[in-house]
Amino acid sequence: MLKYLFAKNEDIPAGSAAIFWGFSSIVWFVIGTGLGSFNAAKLAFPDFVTGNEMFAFGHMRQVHVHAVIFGWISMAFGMAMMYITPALGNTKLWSEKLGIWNAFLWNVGLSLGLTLLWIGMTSGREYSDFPWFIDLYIAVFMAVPLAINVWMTVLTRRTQGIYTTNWFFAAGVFMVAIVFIVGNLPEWFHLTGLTEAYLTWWFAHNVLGLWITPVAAAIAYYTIPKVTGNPLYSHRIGHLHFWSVVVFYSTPAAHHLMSAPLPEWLKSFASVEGVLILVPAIAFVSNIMLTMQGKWNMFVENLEVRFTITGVLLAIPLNMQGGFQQTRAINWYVHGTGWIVAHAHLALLGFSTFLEGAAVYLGLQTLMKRKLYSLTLGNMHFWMLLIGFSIYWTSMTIAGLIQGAGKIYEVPYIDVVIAEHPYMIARWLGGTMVFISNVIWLYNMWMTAREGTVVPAGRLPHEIAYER
Amino acid sequence: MSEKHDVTGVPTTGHVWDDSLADFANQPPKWWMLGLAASAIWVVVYWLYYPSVPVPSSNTFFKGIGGWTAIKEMDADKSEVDAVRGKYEAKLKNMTPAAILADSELTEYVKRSGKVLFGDNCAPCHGTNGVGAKDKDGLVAPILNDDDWLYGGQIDNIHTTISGGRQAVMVAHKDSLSAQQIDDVANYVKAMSDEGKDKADTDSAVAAGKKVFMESDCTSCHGADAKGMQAMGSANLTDKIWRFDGSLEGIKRTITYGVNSGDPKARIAIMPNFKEAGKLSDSEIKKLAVYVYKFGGGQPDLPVAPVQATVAQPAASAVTATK
Ligand code: HEC
Ligand code: HEC
Ligand code: HEM
Repeated sequence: MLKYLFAKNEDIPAGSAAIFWGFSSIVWFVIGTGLGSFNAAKLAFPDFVTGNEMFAFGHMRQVHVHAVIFGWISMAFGMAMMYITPALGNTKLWSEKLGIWNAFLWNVGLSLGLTLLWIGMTSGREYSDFPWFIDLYIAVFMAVPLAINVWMTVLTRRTQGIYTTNWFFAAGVFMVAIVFIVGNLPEWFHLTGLTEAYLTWWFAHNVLGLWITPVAAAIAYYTIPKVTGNPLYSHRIGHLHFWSVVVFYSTPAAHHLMSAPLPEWLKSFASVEGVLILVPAIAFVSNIMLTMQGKWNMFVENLEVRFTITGVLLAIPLNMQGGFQQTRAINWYVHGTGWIVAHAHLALLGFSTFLEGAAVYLGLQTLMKRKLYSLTLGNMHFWMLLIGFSIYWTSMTIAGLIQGAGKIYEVPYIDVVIAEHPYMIARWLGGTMVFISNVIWLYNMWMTAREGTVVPAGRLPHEIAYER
Repeated sequence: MSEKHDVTGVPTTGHVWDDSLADFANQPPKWWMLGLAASAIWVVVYWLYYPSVPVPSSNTFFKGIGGWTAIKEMDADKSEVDAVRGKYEAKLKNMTPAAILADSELTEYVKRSGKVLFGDNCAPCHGTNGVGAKDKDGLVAPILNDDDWLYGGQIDNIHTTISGGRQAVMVAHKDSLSAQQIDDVANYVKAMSDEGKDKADTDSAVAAGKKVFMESDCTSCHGADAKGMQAMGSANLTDKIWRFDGSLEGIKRTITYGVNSGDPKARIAIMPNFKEAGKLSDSEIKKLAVYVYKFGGGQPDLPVAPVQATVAQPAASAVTATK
């Protein structure tokens, strides 16, 4: 790939950038979940790797969180955009060369940022822990080039309308740049106190709400109609989804600070917006489910559809939790417990990871014009990911309920710690399963690139999944 | 293209993307719109009830018809708790720990809240219910549910320990004693614990160690009888209870580098000062003193007869007794 960095744009084969993004994302997924499982081991076995500051939980947790969000999730999004945006415009990517440079700079910046976090250089603001110059780098060298490429590809499309997926992509790249710039104001101008707290969570919430959630949903809008051949159920519900995301998702940041001394009216805003988030969520889920009419057999037979629909189904519990855990009555029970950790992983390791998995599977096969090396390994990846995630979610949810009870009913802290221990071990087991499944995935994709059966012109990889 | 997919009779929007992708012009289903309306109603109700819309011009906000504030809710919760606990807490305030012990109803109350305080503040070092917690250097902190006390097991001793903290010092002997002497004295100390002091004193195998013990500085802190002195928290060396690693190697390490002696390899024994750190109130410290006393190892205030008169309480029975 790196040889294309200095090639002429015309000489770069179409799809190269997307393939580069795709493989980078899988590598970050392996690294990120490896770190996750390492952290889980630290919480399950307190004596696991002690005595070295760099491997302390506080350092490793930040590295894990940023590796998965900005490595796996965001690079998989980059791959989806480089591949789906031009396809939906019946055109080519505006600039393959920019795409390749973008992925290259992304990997470099992220590696640098993670190394700094690892050695302990952090701004200490959760989810934007990177030091300020890395944040600036991300905005200028990572987010903006991606936005330019997506926007220019949409503008130079050769179709009449713009399809739903591309609305979300184009809005997502725009919003994430804004989120980075505004969300890091406290670091650039040394804002402190409640302003800092609020802006920090405005950033953290909107990385999820205006970047990860809408872009992940956009993937489903493409893969389901494309692979099943059914038209999208409703253009109109797509509109409702899009606009309600933009309006309702942008300001509930205060729901992360329900126990902080913020103005109460601000918390009320956050609370109701939490419930309003159900509007786009239900719009999205119902639109995709109704599109599946008559094609439910593909849920069983087809790997990409199975990944997508699993992700979409996980959006239901995710948004139910999200909607209600931010009302005052429920937040005081679950705040600061493992319940929230389970929720965060339902969003990222459940919902969005499955959707990105679908995009990366579909995109890499289509662009490399090679059929998946082994469908068995693909199925194994799916099931290990799903089972591992389910163990994770269940154990952390139970642990969270125990912690919540402990917090409220004055149970001695040590008794809560002891009661949680088995769930911590279960989480570690589930997480390790996820990690192993990703190693299998990386191998499978690598072998697909090298030895996968070539897909004949005019056919799609999934059509020949069961042919020899 | 549109007819091909048209199972429902609804037309597509007419667009086709990526060769085969289209979308229907369906309206949202009715149940869907009802859900939307229901959320809108919910929002209005929530906003009317709770503090919500800001009024920037007068720098205030709509306070909500429910009259709810976070402070009011907290006060209500607090008064609920106070209704039950208030009368005990008021009584506790002016009582000494010894007086609390004499009042059985109050003791019962204190034991319950002591359990929470202990679990939150003390258990990480002393173990749940004071059974002790071990790491590779021996106990992290002394076991509290036995009758072996470094600083004394009377209620006032315990109270002083918790309110003021403790940091015993045993000097390092790596310069004042030779390796051979340390070896000898360690063997003697181990023999005192294994066989009892009387037998060790007459055991010729450890005579050299006894000589070191009596002639160097050991007796000034541990006493000539090696039973320790409560005033400085020096350990009783004649029993089978080991605060630090009680193997020969462990004993040698304690003697060579000392305890809290400032030597980098010294053993560390710090009982934090909870009062100075502002972590516990006076009442809470009193409660903890009574709670720890009631683990079963507390000793009566009267001067007690020689040690052999006190019957050791097995740890397990002490645990069940507090439940
Ligand atoms: C950081 C660990 C730590 C914590 C927390 C801690 N202790 Fe201690 N405690 C110690 C150590 C170490 C000693 C022994 C001090 C010494 O050897 O000089 C000790 C000694 C004691 C003693 C005296 C034991 C004896 O044999 O005389 C009592 C009583 C005691 N602690 C009670 C408590 C209570 C009650 C709490 C909670 C409020 C508590 N400790 C919290 C470490 C701790
Ligand atoms: C300055 C006073 C002092 C001197 C001198 C001193 N000790 Fe100690 N020693 C202590 C104190 C205090 C402790 C208890 C420390 C603790 O538990 O926190 C102790 C603990 C010990 C222990 C560990 C007991 C256990 O239960 O783990 C041994 C063994 C010991 N001393 C042996 C000796 C010997 C042998 C000498 C003479 C060479 C000696 N000490 C001299 C104060 C002294
Ligand atoms: C192998 C699978 C994984 C394991 C074992 C794992 C483990 C962990 C652990 C132990 C924490 C710290 C929780 C705490 O502070 O108590 C954590 C936090 C986090 N992880 Fe993971 N993780 C995994 C995969 C992922 C993935 C794939 C993502 C995103 C795509 C992710 C996103 C996050 C986020 C956002 C946090 C912060 C959550 C919070 O503060 O509640 N993790 N993870």
